[in-house]
Amino acid sequence: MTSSLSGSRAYPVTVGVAAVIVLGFLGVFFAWPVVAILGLGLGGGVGDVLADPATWRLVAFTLGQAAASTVVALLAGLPLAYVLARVAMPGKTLLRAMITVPFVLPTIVVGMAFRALLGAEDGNVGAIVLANAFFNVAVVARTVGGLWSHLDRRTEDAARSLGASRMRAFTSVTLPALRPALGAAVAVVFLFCSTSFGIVLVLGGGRYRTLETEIYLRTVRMLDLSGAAALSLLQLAAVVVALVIAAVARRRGERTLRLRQATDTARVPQGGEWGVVVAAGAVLCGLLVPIVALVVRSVSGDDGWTWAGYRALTGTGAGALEVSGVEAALNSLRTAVDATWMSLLLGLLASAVLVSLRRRGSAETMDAALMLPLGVSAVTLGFGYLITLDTLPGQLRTSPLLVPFAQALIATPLIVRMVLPVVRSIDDGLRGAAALLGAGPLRVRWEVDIALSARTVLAAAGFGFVVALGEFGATSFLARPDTITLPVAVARLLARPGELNTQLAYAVCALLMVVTALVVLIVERLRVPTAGEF
Amino acid sequence: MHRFLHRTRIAGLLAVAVLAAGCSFVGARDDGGDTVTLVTHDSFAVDEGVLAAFERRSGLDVEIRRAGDAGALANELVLTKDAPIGDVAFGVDSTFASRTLNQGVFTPYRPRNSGEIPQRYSVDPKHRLTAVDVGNVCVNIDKRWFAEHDVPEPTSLRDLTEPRYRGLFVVPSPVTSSPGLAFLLDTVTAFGEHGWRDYWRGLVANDVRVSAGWQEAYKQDFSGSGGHGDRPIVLSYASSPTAETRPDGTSRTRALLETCYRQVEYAGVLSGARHPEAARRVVDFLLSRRFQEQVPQHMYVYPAVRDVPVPESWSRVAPPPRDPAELDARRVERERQRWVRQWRDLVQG
Amino acid sequence: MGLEIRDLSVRFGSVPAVSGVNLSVAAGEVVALLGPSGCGKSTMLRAVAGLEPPTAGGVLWNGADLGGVAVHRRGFGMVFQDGQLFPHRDVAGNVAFGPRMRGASKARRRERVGEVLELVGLAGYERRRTTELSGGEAQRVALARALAADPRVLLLDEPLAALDRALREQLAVVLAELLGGAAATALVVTHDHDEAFTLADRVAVMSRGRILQVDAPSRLWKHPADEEVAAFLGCSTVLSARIGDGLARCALGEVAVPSEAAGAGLLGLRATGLRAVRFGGVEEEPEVVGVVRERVHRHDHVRVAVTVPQAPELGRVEATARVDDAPEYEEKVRLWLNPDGVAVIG
Repeated sequence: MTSSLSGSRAYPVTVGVAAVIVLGFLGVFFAWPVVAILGLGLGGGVGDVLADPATWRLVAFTLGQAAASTVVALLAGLPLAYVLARVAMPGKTLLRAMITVPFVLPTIVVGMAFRALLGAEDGNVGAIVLANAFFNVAVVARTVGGLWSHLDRRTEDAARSLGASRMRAFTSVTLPALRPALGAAVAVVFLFCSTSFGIVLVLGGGRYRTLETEIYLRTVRMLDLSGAAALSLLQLAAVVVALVIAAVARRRGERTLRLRQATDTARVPQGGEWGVVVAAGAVLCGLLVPIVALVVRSVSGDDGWTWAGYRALTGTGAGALEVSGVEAALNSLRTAVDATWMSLLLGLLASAVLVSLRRRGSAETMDAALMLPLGVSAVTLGFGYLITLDTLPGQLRTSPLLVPFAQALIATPLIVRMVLPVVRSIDDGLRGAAALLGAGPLRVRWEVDIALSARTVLAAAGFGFVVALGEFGATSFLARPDTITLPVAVARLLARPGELNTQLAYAVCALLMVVTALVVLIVERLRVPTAGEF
Repeated sequence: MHRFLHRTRIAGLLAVAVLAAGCSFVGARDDGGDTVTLVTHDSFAVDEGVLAAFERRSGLDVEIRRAGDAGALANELVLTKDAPIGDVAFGVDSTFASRTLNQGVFTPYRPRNSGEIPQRYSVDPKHRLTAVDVGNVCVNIDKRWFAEHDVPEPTSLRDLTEPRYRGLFVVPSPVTSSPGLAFLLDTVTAFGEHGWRDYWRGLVANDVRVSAGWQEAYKQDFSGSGGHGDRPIVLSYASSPTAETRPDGTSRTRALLETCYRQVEYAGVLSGARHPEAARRVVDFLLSRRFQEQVPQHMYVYPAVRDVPVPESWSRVAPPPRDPAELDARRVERERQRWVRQWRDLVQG
Repeated sequence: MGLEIRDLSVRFGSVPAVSGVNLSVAAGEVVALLGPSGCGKSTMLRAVAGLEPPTAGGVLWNGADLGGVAVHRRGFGMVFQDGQLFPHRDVAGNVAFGPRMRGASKARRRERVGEVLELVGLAGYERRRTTELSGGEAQRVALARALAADPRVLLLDEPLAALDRALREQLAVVLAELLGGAAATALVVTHDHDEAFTLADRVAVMSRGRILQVDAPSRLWKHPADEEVAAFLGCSTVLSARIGDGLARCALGEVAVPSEAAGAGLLGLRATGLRAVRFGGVEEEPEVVGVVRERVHRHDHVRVAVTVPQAPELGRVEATARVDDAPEYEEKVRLWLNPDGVAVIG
């Protein structure tokens, strides 16, 4: 007598459905448009582009500046991560909100701020690296800080008792334990930096070019689709290589860690730890300088201080926009809410699938596939939408939902990166225990996986929301005039002459910062630690 | 456990409340019926009252779809010509007109009052594109700076290579900016196929600053807008001084009318439009007096239709250049890429 | 009636973990699965629970195949080796989990939690965090959690293995009383024969994925089916003997055996089956003499290994001596067989 597997193993069916939803979304809203637009360009000219030594200089510069930016972001982010995770102090919520703000700022505005602050008017690689790092410090601090706060401090203490110095204990015990989070942060930051567009354009003064800017110029300005396709393929290849390296680094790091409740691990710093706190303070000041500059700019007029920009928030900036600044803020919130629930749904489904896949290879392939949207140019995707989505029913090509779809593509991999390590660290026995006590497959996910990772999921949702709030590339391409978001409004306003438009642009920017900070603060409020939860 | 349940319940309620409060585009209705879609660039703007009046009169619902700057617009139209993203397009300029015409993006339509449009703006004998407005890319100066520093104001392109204007000029790059490209074409027209590169060598020697976009050049480096920058000469538009007027009606800046390059913006009915009849009515609307009259205020350009009055302040601070440079659209289409490449080698090599 | 395991096989890739096992557990019966670690007993338990898909064979409850029944519908309770308490819930939240999944009312849940906590001796522990519990308390909560769901069968996977010896012995008694008192149908996995014999009505000895023997503890102890079972049950020496009239004669002497059989047979000797007594050379040379080659002090006796000059083919043989009369290294000792430590194999 044999027994059938399908009934007793309900997981594969659920997992299958989840996988179909995730991969279906990825297929329709990412793979199909990208392949279609690349397909248009393949054939002619691709070989010539690849044979051109200038192309390879472009690749080298792209990867070089991304690597340098990642290193700077990492160095700046780690002290902040340490403070967030290990230092007991009041106002940490505010600190978290503050370091998240840079992440959403429109690149054109940050680019212009760095350009003025660093005197980089003629193009400056150092400024590009610093500005890229400025955007991504939050990614490092939050991703690494999240895991760090749950690490059992006693393993470090054990190392110290065995004669390791503070530094030695950090490098030999803490750092390896943080590797999954470090790997995730490095991968994400590297992808963001290698596809950084506005920063490279503004701070490169048109002189420094990356694959991303070149793809944009060839696609949008020259309609040189074959050149753009060749460069996009190179970009994709570079991204895949980066992802493989990240996966290899992760392979050995991701495991069941001894996780502790966060409050147990924070304490008042001792001795040399104060040095790290000081470094974190310095980084924070560095983050604040451009932000303060923006705020100052928003209230400075031709003849001294003025509130004109803020008063104009209820208007449309002399017809520059179809909507007022306030309406743009509401649009931003709406779009971000949609993008958040979509990416949360996709991210959780994807995490469930990734956890259930027993074969390491298929899990890693799917993981990498989810990350790919971070490494593909927004303009490639946008042009891809133009030529594919008209064949779908429901006028998707012009639907306001297209913007959250595109934003969800970018937010989903970040949510997966945050949630997956926590879900993977959950002992499978707990799921078995719940099932044996009568919980069905979905109930198990809810009672065990979701419940145990609730805090992380909530944080990830908040971060996804913030990503959507700040997303510019795809949004500016896809948003309809009546549904433009705050970052897009800023860019449109800056594209017009007139002092009032400029003041309004910076006021909108300030509004964006306030909205972001509020969202982060609300999410933090919901993150009260609960009994026994990780 | 109770605390956890409690919190999930709160989070659930919050989510429902957010969705119910309309903080979502799910279920947002896509207007059906007599909708006509106007595809245009990011700088398109129209007086709400004028548009509403047209919609009321015609019974049409005009949906505006933006597609990036003029270059992006042209290329999107080319890319989607078999399944157009709208019915009518506005904003293809003389730099990109040829490409769209060659690719058959537009279908012929001769508006009722096309006779009132000066012949020099016409780009296509088959009337697939109709001029709607005229913009002029010109060098702008900060008058106050020149007064304060007791330096005579420049007047021509040639002046900008003179030592006394050293380090004063900022221009957006022709690679990454539309006005930047127009300025390159301007220098090609002014100095010829052989002379333009020498001219640029002169500019570089005179410490010209090249920015990626118009925003950085005008909003940040130019001293005449907001008073924050350090360069009193910038490449912008003939109309820019109208945005810098003071309460007394004078402008702080001035466009040098001998340095201008003309860019005409066109509208046309898209081949394969779903609503061709409505599309034609939109073109008519764009050429109507009421639309033409508000063009200066909303898009900082001059109306294409003859004898449409411009605002009084315009004739004072931003008169149109009498004889701006312009290159043949077909020649631009043919040579643009080469010129840009040569410029890059020369200035940024 | 009850639980029946038929021809059950589980493979991990090409590695067989359980191979064609047959076993039945009658209603109200406690069966222990005894075997060395890695013998497949835990895998088999997981397969019975539905946590591991069988590659062949199946599990029946009251004659009905459970192959198509998902884990959460089997109504089996399980206590894991490491408890697997939900860290995000307190003790009451853990114990009430099963009733909650069945839709029991809040009041009913509270009542049930109180009952089973009382039963496992943890009355009043409801609001404790699971992270604050000692190992023994955690295992008792795990047991209470399983019991609260009123399982048809209770599956216990090395429930006491993670505890220290004293606690283990004490809890084993508590557990035995609980299982007996509740007339529970249970399958207990363990590697410890004391535990198996304390808890179970019948014990199944497993090795390399197969069941070698199933019997009541006393019979198993006295009559291991083969040398492997005998070895696992502590018989460190196997020697041939002639059996008849309730006596077995072998190289180490004569001993009473409960076997009815007659003829040639095999004896399994545990350390306790051979007593080593010093005789100091004053008395006459005894019948069987051993020479002490190793000695280790155990908690209530001294374990020695001896060689027997009369039967050098046996090599070193384990024997026990009294603590207050322990022989020295290399000392000659008198050996005699103790029927309590002798098993008849086969």
